[in-house]
Amino acid sequence: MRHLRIGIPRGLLFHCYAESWKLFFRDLGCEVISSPETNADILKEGLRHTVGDLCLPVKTFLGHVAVLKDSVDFLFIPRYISIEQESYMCPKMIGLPDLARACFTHLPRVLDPMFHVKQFGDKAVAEFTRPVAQALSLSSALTAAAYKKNIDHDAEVPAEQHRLSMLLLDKEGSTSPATGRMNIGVVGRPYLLFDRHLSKNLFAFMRKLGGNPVYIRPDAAEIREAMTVIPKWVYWDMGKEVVAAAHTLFKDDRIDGVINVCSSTCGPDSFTGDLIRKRLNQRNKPYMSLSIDEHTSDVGIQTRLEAFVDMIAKVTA
Amino acid sequence: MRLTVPHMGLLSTAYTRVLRQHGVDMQPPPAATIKTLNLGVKHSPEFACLPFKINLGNMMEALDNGADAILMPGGYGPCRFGYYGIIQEQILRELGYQFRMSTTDNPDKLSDMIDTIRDISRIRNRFDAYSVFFLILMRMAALDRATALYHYYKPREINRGETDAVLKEAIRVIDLADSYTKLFRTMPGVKKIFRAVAIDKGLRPVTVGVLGEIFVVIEPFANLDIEKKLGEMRVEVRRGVWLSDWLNDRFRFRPFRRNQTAYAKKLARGYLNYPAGGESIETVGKTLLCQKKGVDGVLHIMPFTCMPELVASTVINRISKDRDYPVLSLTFDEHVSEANIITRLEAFVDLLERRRNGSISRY
Repeated sequence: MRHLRIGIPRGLLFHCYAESWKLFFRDLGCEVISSPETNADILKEGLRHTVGDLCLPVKTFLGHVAVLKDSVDFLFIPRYISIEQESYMCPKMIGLPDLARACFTHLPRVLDPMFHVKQFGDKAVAEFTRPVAQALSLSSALTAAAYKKNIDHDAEVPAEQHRLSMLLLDKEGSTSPATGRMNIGVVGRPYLLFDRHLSKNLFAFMRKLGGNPVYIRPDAAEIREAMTVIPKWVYWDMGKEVVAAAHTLFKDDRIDGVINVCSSTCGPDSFTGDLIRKRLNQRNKPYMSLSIDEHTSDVGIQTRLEAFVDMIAKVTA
Repeated sequence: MRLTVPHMGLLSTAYTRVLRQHGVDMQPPPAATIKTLNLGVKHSPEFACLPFKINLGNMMEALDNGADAILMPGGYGPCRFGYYGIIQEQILRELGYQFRMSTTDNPDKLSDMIDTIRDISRIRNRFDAYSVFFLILMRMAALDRATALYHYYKPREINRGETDAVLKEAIRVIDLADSYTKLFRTMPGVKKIFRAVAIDKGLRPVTVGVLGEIFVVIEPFANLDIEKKLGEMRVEVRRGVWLSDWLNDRFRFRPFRRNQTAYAKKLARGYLNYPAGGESIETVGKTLLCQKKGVDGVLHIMPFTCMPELVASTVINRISKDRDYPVLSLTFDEHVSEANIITRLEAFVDLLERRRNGSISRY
């Protein structure tokens, strides 16, 4: 019997959970196909099918859906609503499977299990695996076991995800502060930062300029600490991580400056950016906010990075 | 303590008089003007949504007029609204304003609302607080009822502008009804003054369902008074989102009115299987309802960068293609021009009229 082919578009949460998803589906005896890294054609395909105001990562995601849709049996577009009690995903991610179905007419069957800790609590995993088991005609116990073995969304064990993000960075790159070099903290959403086409290969260019980009994924303690500095718990999952990462980087003496990379019409980031700029930068470190959309050019980003690096050199000298 | 609450449609009319009677020193912000918007835009984050900017402008104007406390509802997502108060407070403090800021973080929980009322007013008794809160809700429902009557009479009126004057009068008399008894006695009178408007009884106007983000739909300043514009084009507005419905879904003060969110969720199944925050589910569900009920088309309005409505807008575009049903999405922000909106509305209404006459078959 031929293996069922599951397509996972390389966009949005793929950059956080791809490895666990792949292992999960392989354990269930499926073949996993993910789309290639974003390139100009994929982005164009995404832009062609979407309305103008949607944010760049969502458009890119839909481009990946377009690439995959004719070669797989199922498309895996999970509906992540909340991965913990206190926070939500962004509304566009909550509506992601419906967005995909609305943008394309001939989609293969969409596997859209819902992950909603806020509503289901301990039963969230069962709610997540049940539709998968049904769609693939597997026993729900088997699916749940595969899930438990492979997927762990908890912020307490970010090691796997951290390793993953380093892999997606340049292979030789270090992501920890180094002495004697200009350490530039980079905060932003993984799906924008680690998509080389969208972030215009930001990390590599920074290294070329002699900077050492530092990306961290804050752990639960760091998030809790950052939330005590700002007046209200940030209730977007990734927004919260961005704020906490910025807080940790601003505090760290070894970091010379911080860059916040966001997509230009990102809803949560329009607010968290304001928080970061006004509340967290208590030591008045050099800070820059880079917003990216489909019209951003490599050269534009590079000029701004050069100026930023020059500024840091002057401040520290 | 002079308390101010940013505007949202007619809501301030519903509570100001009642709360004043119970010892709250209310200072509603002046009605929003272009100056309000400019103030808000100047100090807001660039990509904040339009309601945020207008609210911020409201707050600044009210503080300039002598208010020294702000009440801003909050919440916990996923829409940005829940975080408005925090960012606005930060901006206002930076500008040097002195004030007390209170947020009710669970505006859809009855106990929180009751506590808020007891907190700001002289009322100490829990039962009295309930009674006041439900009176405010009933007044809101009455105001919405008057607006619905306006939607019916406006396109049919013979003397231009008569209905607008009647609506103003209706709002005035509802505002004066500050107890349950008075409110129940007022409503027949409101209907009567609307019935006195001279209308063209034979007219069968084109109908348009107005849906979208609740603030932009119910706040005439934010949507450039789009309902009046449609009325003047002889179009009957069937508004799908009402503040009183939103409140009723949470507080069930009109037990015989169906829960609109739950209803929309049922209708939207297949197109939007889970509410993506805000009014997304209402937009999708009621677009399908409008189509089923034979409303000629749907006008979907939202603020620029509104996250939930962007999902909804993509989905209703699909509905429009699947079911050959006219849908127009309009985005509002501080740069929107009136001429642009009028031109697009006229084209849309033309299209609806021609479809109705059968001169074009497909949308």
